[in-house]
Amino acid sequence: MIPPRLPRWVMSRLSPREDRDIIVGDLDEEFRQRARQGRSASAWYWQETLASMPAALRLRWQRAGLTRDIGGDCRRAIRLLWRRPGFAAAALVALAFGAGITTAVASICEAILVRPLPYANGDRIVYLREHDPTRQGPNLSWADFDELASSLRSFAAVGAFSDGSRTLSGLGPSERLRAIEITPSLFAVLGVVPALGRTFSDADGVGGAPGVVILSHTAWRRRFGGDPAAVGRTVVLSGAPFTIVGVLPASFAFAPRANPELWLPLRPSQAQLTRGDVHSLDVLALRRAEVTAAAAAEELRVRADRWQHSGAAWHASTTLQTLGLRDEMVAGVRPSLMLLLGAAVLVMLAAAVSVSGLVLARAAARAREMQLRAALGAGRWRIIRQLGIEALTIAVPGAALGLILASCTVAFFDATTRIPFRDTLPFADRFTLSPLAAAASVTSTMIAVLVAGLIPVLRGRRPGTPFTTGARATAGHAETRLRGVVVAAQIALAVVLLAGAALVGRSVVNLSRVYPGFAIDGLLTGRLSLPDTPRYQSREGMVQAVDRVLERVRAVRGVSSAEAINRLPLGGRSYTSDFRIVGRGEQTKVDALIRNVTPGYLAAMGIPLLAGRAIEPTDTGSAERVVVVNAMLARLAFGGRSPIGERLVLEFLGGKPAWTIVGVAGDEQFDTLDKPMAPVVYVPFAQNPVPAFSLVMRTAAPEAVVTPVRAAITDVDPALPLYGVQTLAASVASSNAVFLRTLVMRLLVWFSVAALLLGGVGVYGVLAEAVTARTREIGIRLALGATGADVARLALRIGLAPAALGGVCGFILAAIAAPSARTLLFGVAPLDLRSLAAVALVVAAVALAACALPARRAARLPAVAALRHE
Amino acid sequence: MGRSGYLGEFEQIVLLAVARLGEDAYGMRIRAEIEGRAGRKATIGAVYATLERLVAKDYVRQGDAPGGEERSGLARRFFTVTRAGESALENARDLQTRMWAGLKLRGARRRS
Repeated sequence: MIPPRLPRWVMSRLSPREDRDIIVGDLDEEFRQRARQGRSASAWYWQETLASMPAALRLRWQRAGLTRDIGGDCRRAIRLLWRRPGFAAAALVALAFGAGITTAVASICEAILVRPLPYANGDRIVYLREHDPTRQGPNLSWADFDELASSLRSFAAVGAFSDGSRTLSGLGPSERLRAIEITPSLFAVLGVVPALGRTFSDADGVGGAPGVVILSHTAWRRRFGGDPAAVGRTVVLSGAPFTIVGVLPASFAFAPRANPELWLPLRPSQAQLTRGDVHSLDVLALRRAEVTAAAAAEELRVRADRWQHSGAAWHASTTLQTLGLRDEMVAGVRPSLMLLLGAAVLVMLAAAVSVSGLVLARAAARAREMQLRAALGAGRWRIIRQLGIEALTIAVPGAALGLILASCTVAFFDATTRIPFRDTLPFADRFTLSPLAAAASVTSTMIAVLVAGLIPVLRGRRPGTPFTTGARATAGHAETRLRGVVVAAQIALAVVLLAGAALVGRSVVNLSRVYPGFAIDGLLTGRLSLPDTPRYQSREGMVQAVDRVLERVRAVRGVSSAEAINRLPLGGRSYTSDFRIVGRGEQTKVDALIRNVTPGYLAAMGIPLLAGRAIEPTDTGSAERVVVVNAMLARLAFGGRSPIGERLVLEFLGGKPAWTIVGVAGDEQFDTLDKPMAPVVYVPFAQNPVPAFSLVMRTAAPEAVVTPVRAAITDVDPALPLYGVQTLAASVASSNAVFLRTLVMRLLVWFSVAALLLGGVGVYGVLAEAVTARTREIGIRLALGATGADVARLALRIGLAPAALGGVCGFILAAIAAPSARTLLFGVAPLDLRSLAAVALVVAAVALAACALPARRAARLPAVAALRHE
Repeated sequence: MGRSGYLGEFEQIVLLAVARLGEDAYGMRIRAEIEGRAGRKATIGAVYATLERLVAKDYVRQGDAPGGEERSGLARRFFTVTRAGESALENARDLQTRMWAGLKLRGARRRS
């Protein structure tokens, strides 16, 4: 019966030397007694050891008298802080700011980039995408989806979805709701179990089956008050009856499509079923647990290879790729977040360096005290302990304040982030303080302050060396040099942050100067979807509806023009088609955006007509099919020749008949502002009517006309709600291209102002201290004939030297770091000399301002008083 | 009675256990006595940390004796209650008695 060795060794190490045998003997005795009685003995020994560890440590401290000493050290450290409230406040503010900003930014990054997705196997869910150099989007056709879903072996489930919206009527005023149409298998991919009712069955996805809908938890709470009896009820969506069959759980979110309210089964249209070149599906797949990502990629490569050799024109150069669900969702924001995280870490470093500077200054001032203590017999460890506790009395409240600041910042971010931006990000609906980020930043704060606090001891200042009296003119030199290094580091960090702010700032300015091809101001937009009622089924019905709506809207006082288009400018690159020019054999490699517009569209937008004519009211469904192309398309497809009179066969519009080009218009941006212009084909709305379209209205008072415009449209048909109403300027401001850059720029400006202030205070501190420490030297210089100006120059040299060193280091660091921000920059090079020169000017101005006061004081010192200075 | 005369609840329990065990009061026994009588889990570390405080307050005295084979030959430390310890215990009991005298709690149920 031998007691277990490890816990026995642990217990004997933890217990005080004089109690070690007694305690371990007691444990051994009871262990043997239990073993004899047949009770569990080894487990008990382990349990007892683990439970006794804190008490054993306490006993050890009691024996060493440490509890009393540490208490005394704490009281002394707090008294010290109390006596120097300026120092305490500066250190606390710097630490709170550093820890708070880092924790807040890291928490937001953790939520978006790291936290597991809210799906059963989120790490194995991937986007399945087709890439083809002749096409713009990575979407799949129905035929491809069908084939892949039924035959791929690497994936346990493959599901497709497509955007949509429906008009809900019968529950108060008609309202347009965001909807998503999915194949029944998508829920299997996401691993979602409904909170109420059921998910879709395969039968629900068959054309002609009764309409069914699943509600998001939000929609169920908002529209049915959370009534379980809602399941089974029938609602009218876009004029057709749908039975509610399920409600999704509250924890379920679908960020890829901004959390739609309605989930409908995707029923392929005849065109989708029969044509391989209609690519409209987003596809998600769940990789099998036992299949590696590489094996799945290989299976897709083999399949794409087979497609390329199948002879189908639309598969001639297609490849299949997967992209992690999260990677796809965060692709747009990851560079910004990483940049902000990097900037926050720099702020944290600046804060830590600044506290080091303050602690060093205090240490220099207390050098005599420390030497006195050493001379009176305090050991090296005793002094280290006291300095450590003093550092912790700053670090602990600093970190605590930092956490409070962080949770306020996160809450502020949570409350103010724009809805369209956050709805597309995982977990953006609930930003909370991340324990991981908090722990990391608190730990690094503690370590930074402890290291700074212990520098005097770590640098080898041996206690017990004879302490100096007088001779202060030289005693402070080493400290001043060290503080100079600290200040240089502060300035360097501020320069890096300022350079980032300047580059992103210039990008924002450049973006605001981009001309999208039309005048943005005074454009109000909104979207309309015609219900699936017989009245709007025919092409004529759709054209008449648009004409009547536009006629009524144009009559609203304050609206100077109103036109319709299938997709708004600056709204993204969907609805594209490749085309063939009649008379030329092969397909062009140009993929054009197809935009159906009413006749006055180009004029209303202010887009110039460069050649030929615009679309006219006479271009009706029965007239010759005509299109207007933009300058980009004319250049890419026809080189220098005039395209007027040429005829295009557009794959997207069924391939036949051909459309004659009657005009060339100026370029108009349909993608975000930071993207190049794309080729566009404007098709008369009357010749290719669609049931969902946007209105663009020119008005001097966008807000004032919204209500009368809505009323005018309801007059045409009460089941026609106008939704997504906003000015084009507002939608540009909330677009990722502009919003993200503006957010990053603002934060970087704040961060760099803070870092610059810390740096300025540091420069001031170094110089002020150097002037005090070298007062006698100054006195001697004055006595030997130096003028006030000479002394001021000397002082400026002392203060500006570390600032200049920091500035140079900062520019080198900025040059190294700038390329990582390339994706955020627009129209400005990572090493933009104008921006860097501006940063240099600002830093130099701050450093000079910080030097001014101490230098002036030095220059005005009376020689006699300086010589007497002790 | 100043702060030094104050007996914490666990100190009181340990002191009473030492008093009850008389000459047989050593670590494991004291721990077992507390568990058996008070029905309260006490680790050996906590018992020794408390005994250390009681020694410092001069409420118990300690003395070591050689241990046998069952203790792997390690010494055993016996504790006895001092006069000061006895009077501290009596004070604690008197204080409780005085505080309870004539008090009936409204919510308390009478136990049979």
